[in-house]
Amino acid sequence: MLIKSRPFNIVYVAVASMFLMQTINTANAHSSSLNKIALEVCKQKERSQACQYNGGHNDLYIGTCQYISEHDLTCVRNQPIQKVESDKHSHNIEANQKKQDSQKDNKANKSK
Amino acid sequence: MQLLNRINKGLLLCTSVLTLVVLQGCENAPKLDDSQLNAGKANIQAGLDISLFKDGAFILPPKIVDCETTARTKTTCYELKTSGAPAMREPGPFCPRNTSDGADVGGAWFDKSGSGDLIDITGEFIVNLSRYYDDPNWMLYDPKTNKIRYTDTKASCLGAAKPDVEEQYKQNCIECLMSYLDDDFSRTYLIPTTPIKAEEAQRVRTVGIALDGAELSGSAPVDAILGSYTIAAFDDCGGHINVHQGYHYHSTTGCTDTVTTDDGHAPLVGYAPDGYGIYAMEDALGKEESLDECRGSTDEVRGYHYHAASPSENMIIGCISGETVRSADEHAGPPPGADGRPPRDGRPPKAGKPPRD
Repeated sequence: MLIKSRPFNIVYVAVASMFLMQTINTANAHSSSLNKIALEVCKQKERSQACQYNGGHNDLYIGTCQYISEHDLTCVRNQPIQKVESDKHSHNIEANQKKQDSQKDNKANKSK
Repeated sequence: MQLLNRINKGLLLCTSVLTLVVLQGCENAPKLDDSQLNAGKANIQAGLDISLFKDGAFILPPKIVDCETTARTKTTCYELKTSGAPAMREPGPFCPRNTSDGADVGGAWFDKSGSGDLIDITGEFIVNLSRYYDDPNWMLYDPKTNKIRYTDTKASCLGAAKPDVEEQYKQNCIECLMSYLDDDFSRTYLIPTTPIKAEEAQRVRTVGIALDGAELSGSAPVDAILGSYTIAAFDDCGGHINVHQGYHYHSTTGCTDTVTTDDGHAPLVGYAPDGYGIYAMEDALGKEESLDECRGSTDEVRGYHYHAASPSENMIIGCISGETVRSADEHAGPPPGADGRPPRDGRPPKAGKPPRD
């Protein structure tokens, strides 16, 4: 047996988990075409609402939902593509989403 | 050592003198007064500049006609009539013929990551489609002969390049030729001579007209195309042909880029149907700016204008900010033809196996 000591086991498991998590993350971005993902993130949204998604290669796409056809909205990127570290990626998406949504809400409240 | 010290002292002296000169120069630089600033604004490139189009972009001399926008604003428009072909070049190539063909024989397609440049459609790409899309049903070539299946007749182009791809044309690389178009085929664009900002942005139907006269088209329905196990191949310029639109672009790869100013701004690609210019994504330094929701921006030289997205994003701009005039031959919604529309039931085909031939 090559792996004998417990600390080494923990390190091994941690490294393996990180690798697995990274693989899963990438697979999510690659398992369907980008158009599907862009449509998916706008499914429950209205026109002009903020949206973002992982465009693959840890590219974060940030934009707003716009009509692509009579009924379908897609996420239109309007910010430069951002490179995101994979482990921080999901946290950043969540944080950005909250920030953009609250900005939208503030605008809407002001206009009222 | 002494020599080095002398050089250092000399450099220090030179730098100091240079700094003083520059500072003095800045202080003496003429400041623009309000009238000069306003004069600058008067030079804003408002609206379409016919002289920037390539020779042969139009089949009739452009003319100015009265028109009414969809918001019922009466104005004047440029009437631009094109042949549906890009000026000064032959479209293609699109589909490779053999699995050993390289990038020079085939065209290009969206990178599935959706970012960056288009990817080359090589013979190898066709062979590896199953792996690329993680779907074992892909089979666009005959493994016995290594020949790639592509739409090599007008009938097959029509059969494959339509909303509900006929069963026999699934599993094909789709390419159509300009010769399949009707003899009297033409496209007419009505574009306001002076752009009028709309109260509310409209959705993209036609993105606009490129500087070579070809249409800049809306997003291709990629899921429907791939769902029929077809690739609606582009040429390296990011466009392809169907019998309804002629040659049209789904992405901009630099083929119509025209530098219009010397300020390092991105080059002009074409014009949107509201008359605002569409510029390439990045400026001369390769930088991209933050844009509004239509992918638009305003500066003092160009006024309001758009920036195209990257070639593999399957969109050129996000919405239309200005008022537009519906041309007689404008399509509502995603174009038919080589783009293919989703099957009527909206689902991909159940059996994606290659035809038996």
